[in-house]
Amino acid sequence: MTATVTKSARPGARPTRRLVGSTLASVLVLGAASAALAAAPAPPPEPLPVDQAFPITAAIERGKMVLRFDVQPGHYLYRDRFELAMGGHSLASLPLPRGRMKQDPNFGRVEVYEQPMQLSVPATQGAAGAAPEVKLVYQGCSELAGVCYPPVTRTFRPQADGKAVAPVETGATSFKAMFRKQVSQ
Amino acid sequence: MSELSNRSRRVLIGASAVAAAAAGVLGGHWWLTRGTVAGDEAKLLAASFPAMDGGQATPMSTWQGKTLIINFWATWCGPCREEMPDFVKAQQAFGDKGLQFVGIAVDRRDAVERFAKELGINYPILLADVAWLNELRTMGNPQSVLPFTLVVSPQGKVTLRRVGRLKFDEIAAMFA
Repeated sequence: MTATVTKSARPGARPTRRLVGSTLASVLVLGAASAALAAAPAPPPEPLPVDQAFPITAAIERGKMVLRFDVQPGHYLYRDRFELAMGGHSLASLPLPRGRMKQDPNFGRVEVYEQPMQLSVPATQGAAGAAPEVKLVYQGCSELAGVCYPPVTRTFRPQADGKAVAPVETGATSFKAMFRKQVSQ
Repeated sequence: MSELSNRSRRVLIGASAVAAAAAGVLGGHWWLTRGTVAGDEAKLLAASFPAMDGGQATPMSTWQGKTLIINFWATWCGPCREEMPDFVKAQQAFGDKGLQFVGIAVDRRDAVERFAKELGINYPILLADVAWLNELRTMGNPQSVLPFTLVVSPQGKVTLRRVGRLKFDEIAAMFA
């Protein structure tokens, strides 16, 4: 009985070893490939849509137009690339808060906002006492994805009830009118 | 029983080998094309763009038959400016192997002129209207961000779409 078992077990022994061997080899090859991929730098993440990278709301609070910029981690807005028009009138200087000075390899020292921030300006009344329309231009980049968003224009029509509103109109910005003073070469 | 078992083992060994090969091929393909997505660039390759000298618009077909690297950029885009010295170096190194860079600036002419001179750009720079940023959405750049680069083979096939930086080593690997 024992001899019979030994005889019938022998022919299957080599294929079994081969099976184990080839499986081990496959695992090793795949493991090595995975390790090589893991060691290589991961590709940067896909950039977020600009309105997710920089969600902005506007509200009228105690006679002031308050714009809130919820700058997402890994993103930043340039302080010198803001433009604001209210009721069709462009505001010459904006009371922007201080940002963080960033040493940019291309632009030198630039001031940026990497955290949520807000901008408050006196709310001028529109026609017939209506809340004014606000047109905002801004530009920022994603440090995470290694890209920059083109300058964007967003229009807000907040009501006097203090409720924060999202932009009602979106659009690209003409470069002809933009960046006259900045982007020092 | 033993014979059937051996056949099963052989099938199993074969299946393992096929699975390993398939994993390798798929993994390799993913690795080589990571960060790229499908798109439609026919409009771009058929378009003409104003050149820096303000003369006649230059058709993209000018460089048909070359390994064409089309780079969308702007002076207001830091990462764009950062990768461009690599492009200057690559144009110099692989120009005689059929590489042709073309920079398409979505920007103002005066700013582009200044920067191109400062950097010593050794390949053609064309100017695009801001409306072209929307066109990039269908070419593999859904957020219309910069920099954005396409590599087009001499046969006119897009072999790489890169949202973000393209490095010198990656360009060099195309000519290895």
